[in-house]
This record gives sequence, C-alpha cells and structure tokens, in this order.
Amino acid sequence: MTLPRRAVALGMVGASLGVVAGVVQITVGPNMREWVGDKQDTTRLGLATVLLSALALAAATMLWRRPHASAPARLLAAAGLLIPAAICFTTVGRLWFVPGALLVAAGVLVVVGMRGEHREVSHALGRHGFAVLTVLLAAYYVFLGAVALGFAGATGVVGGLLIGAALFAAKRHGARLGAALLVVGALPFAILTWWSVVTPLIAALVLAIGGRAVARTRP
Amino acid sequence: MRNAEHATTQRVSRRTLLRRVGLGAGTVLVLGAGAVGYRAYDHGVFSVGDGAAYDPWSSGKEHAGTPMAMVAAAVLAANAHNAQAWLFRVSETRIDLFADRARGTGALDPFRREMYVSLGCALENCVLAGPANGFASRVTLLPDPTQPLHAARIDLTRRESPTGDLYEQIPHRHTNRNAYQKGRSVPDAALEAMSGLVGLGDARLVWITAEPERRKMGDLLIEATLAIVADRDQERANNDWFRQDWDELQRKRDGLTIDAAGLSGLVAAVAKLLPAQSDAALDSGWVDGTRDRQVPTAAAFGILAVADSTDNAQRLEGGRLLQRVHLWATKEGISLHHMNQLTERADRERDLGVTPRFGAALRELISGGRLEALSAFRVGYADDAGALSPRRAVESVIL
Repeated sequence: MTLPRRAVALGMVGASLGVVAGVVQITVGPNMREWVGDKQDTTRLGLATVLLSALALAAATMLWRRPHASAPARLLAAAGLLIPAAICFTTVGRLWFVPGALLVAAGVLVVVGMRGEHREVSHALGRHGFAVLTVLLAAYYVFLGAVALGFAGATGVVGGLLIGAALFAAKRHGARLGAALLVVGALPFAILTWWSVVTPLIAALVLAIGGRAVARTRP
Repeated sequence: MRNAEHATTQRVSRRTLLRRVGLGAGTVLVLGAGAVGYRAYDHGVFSVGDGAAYDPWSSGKEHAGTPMAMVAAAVLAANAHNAQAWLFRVSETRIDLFADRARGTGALDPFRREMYVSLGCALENCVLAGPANGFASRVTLLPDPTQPLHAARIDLTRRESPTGDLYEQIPHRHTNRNAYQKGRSVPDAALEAMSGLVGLGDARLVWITAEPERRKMGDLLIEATLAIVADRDQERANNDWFRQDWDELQRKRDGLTIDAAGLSGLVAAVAKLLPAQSDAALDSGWVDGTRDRQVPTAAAFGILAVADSTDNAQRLEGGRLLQRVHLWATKEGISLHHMNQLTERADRERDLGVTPRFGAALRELISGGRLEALSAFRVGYADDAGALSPRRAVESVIL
C-alpha cells in the first residue's frame, strides 16, 4: 500500500471511530464518566467530538477522492486530520485513544508525503495564511459564544459568523466593508465579556490578523 | 546595474522573511488564544451558575405536591462551607432529617455546632415548603435521644394552607460574599423586623451597627481569619471544601467556589484560567477578601445568641431562625453573608484547651449575660447579586 493510501485508510478508520466515540459520549457518557475523561458536560463535548471527527472524515475523503490534489490542498487535509485529533484528546477521554492515534498517524503520513513540495506549500501559506488564521479566530468566537449564556453568547456566535463573512465581503465589495464587519463582529462579545480575558484577547487578534488579511484581499 | 539587482533581491527576501515571521508569530498567538479559550470553556469561565451542580436551584417544581418537594427546598438551605451534611428519609407521612457525619468540616467544627445550625436551616426550608405542596408539618427535634444524628422528625398531614412569603424566597436566597455598598446602612426598622423573627424563648439577634463596635467586630473577624489560616488543621479543613476545578465542582456539587467567593468577574476568570492555587494563595485570598472587601463594607454585623450553644436542639432552632432571617433579608433586597470565623476559633480554643481569646471576645460583643453566641453574619446592600453555590441532587441525599 502506498503512503497516501495508508494515510487515507488510517484517516477513514480513525475518523469513523471518532464519530462513534462522540455518539457513545452523548448517549451513555454520564454512565461511564471514567471513560470519557470525567467530563460532566457529555452532551456538548460529545457533539463537538462528532463534529470534529466528521471534519477529519471529510479530510480523509478528500484525500481518497483526490490523491493527486495540490500540495496546499493536501496540507489542508493534513490539518483537518491533525487538529481534530489533538483537540479531541481533551473532549472524550480514553475513548479517543484509538481514533486519536490513527488520525495523528494519518496526518503525519500526509505531511511526510509532501517532501519536496516545500516551495508550493510555503507560497500558498504566504498568500492565504492570515485568512486561515482569521477563520480559526472566527471559529473560536462561535465556540465560546455557544458556551456562554444569554445575550452575550448570541453576540459571540453572530460575531464569529460576521468575522468569517468579513473575508468574503472584502473580496467581493472591498477592504472597507471587510474591516467594518471585523469590528462589528469582534467588539460586542469582547465588550460584554471583557472580564473573561479570553474574548478581548481574541478580539485584539481578530483586528490585527483579520485586518491584515482583509487589507491583502483584492476585489 | 548588478548592484541594483542585488539590492532588489535582498529587499524582496527581507519582505518575505518579515511576512513569514509575522505569519509564524500570528500562528503561535492564534493557537495560544485557542488553548486559553478552551481552558476558559473547560473551567467554566462562561458557565457561572450553569451545569448539573446548579440544577437544584431551578428544579424544585419537579416534585411538586410530594414530600420530595420539601426535601428539594431543604437542600437549598444555607449551610457552613456548603458541606451539605444532611440526609433525609422520606415517606408519604414523614420526613426524617439526619446529620451526615461523613461530611463534617473537621477542625473547623470540632463540636458540630455548625453542622446542627446548618441542619436547622435545612429544616426551616423543609417546613416552609410544606404548605406550598399541600402539607402541614409537625416538627420534633432530636426525636430519639439515643440517636443524636437523627436531627428532626417532620410528621406530615395533608392540609391546604397559605404559602408564606419566605417560601417564595428559597430559590433566590444565597450568601453574598461580594463587597457591599459603602456608607449605605440597613434601616433600623429592617433590623428590628429580623429580630422579630426570633421564635425561640431565649434566643435573640444582637446587632452591631455603631461604628466603634462594628470596627471592633471587623478587627476580630480579620484576626480570627488569620488565626484559622495559621492553624494547620483548620486551614486544611477550610481548603478541603474549596472547589477550584470545574469538573470536580460539577461532580461533587458541594463546597465553596471561585464564583461565589465574592471576587470581581475579572479576578474570578483569571483564577479559573490559572492552574489551581496553593493553600498559601487561597489563605491569602481569603484574608485579603475579609480585610479589604467584606469587613469594611458591612452595614451591620449580626450575632445569633442562644442560652446554650452546645445544645443541639438550640442549635437546630437557631439554624431555623437564621434561615428565616436570611430569607426575609432576601425578600427586602438585603444581602447577607454568614461569617463563622469567630465561632470556629472559639470552638477550636475550647477543643485545644487554650485561653479562650475569641470566646471571651464573643461574650463581650453580645454584652455578657447568660446568652452564648451561636453564629455571626454581616448584612448590607450589594450591587451584584452574587453567584449561586453548587448543590447535590435531591436523589443523592435520600436514605
């Protein structure tokens, strides 16, 4: 079996087992807390595990359908395998040991398979790196907004979506609209939950990194 | 010509290098923010008062019309260190209340004074919830002299009777450890009304409102706090009931918490984000809070005094009174914070057989006579309602 095929097989099995782990946590997690990392909020964490495993499954599927995709696309797939693998070690306890190990192995194999394509990868990262980081920050906002209670939480979810939309708005309608959406998306949640330390930190990063990504976008 | 080409190449390289450095730094910062964000989630920074540990505050209606509803009200009672040292045996016609010795607070409560006062608080909530669920209660304290852990028996009869004002306050009452509004006193009429809630023959509430006495009481509270943290056994017993870890809090559903410690939102969030604090840091935080926030902003101190503070029946009755006072204060928008440092030190002195410094000071504060201090608290008006404390589910306190 070739390196990419091995990565695809490991990724598919690991992600599928991850989905199963998430479903188990949602359904019977409260009755087996020592197996799910002693987590109390088994529903939300189980759901997060399912979603992240589905993301990994999508990455593995992409590699299976397009084994000769460009280097940046394969790098993105590797991230799609490795990031959920890392995060879920903190969400679902021992149930993640097997799926996590398989996904890490798959991600590493994909990266190893990209030897010699350094220039192409580095060029793509240079072009879209800040935008990728902004999307990541937007995802943090959506996640923390979903966790926070009441009106403040809603501003987090909506704010995250606006931050994500800012990149597309900048591309279609210009940097000014993109920058305005970044500000409108980032500030309300940060102001309402300023005491949390985390949201002001993320808002500052959104304005700095997202601002740079938006400024580099040309309609 | 060659020099110009070389300069251009060098300029581009520098720009590329700077971009890569910026992207690398950005990546590190974004991943760092993600880690901090996840820790904030994992330690409940955004979930104050949320989760299974707080469900009992809003799930009282589940057992409406049954004796279990009375137990659901009882578990929301004030109690020392939120140890919840109570157990209930429930039938259709009777509720028996027992002390759970396994949940004692050790050197802080060597003679189980606080445990029985807390049981009295739970008993009062239980009785107050009777009419709302169609029951009339008849209470017998310590029904079996051979079983001191059997704190009370509540015989129930089906009878429609009006629900009292105080019952409505049960889900809203909680200890407020925040700073209170400085310079805003509690009206004399309110203090008198609380004193009027006393139902026990010899018990009375002693109010300390005048500035010199208030300062004296405040100084004693600070000294007692310092004495507790300097006493290894009391310090350990105190910190054993402090829950710093969110998962532990949600699992054990008891103890004092960062959210309910009276800290500002910012300080509480930072405390949750940082690794668990050492005993020394917890001690220092408690002393600072007592000295800088709680004592200087107290509008008045109250001391509940009874004829014999070693008598379990009087402790139980004192607890019932204390709960009524707290519920009445809640109805009037007055914040209340139980401060047991003085009685804890007085009992410790008795336990160790040393000179009763705090015991003597307490006697002096309540002007001698034949009454003994049972419990102390401060009142005032807080800007912030304060946070709820975790509670065990009704099902886990049933025998």
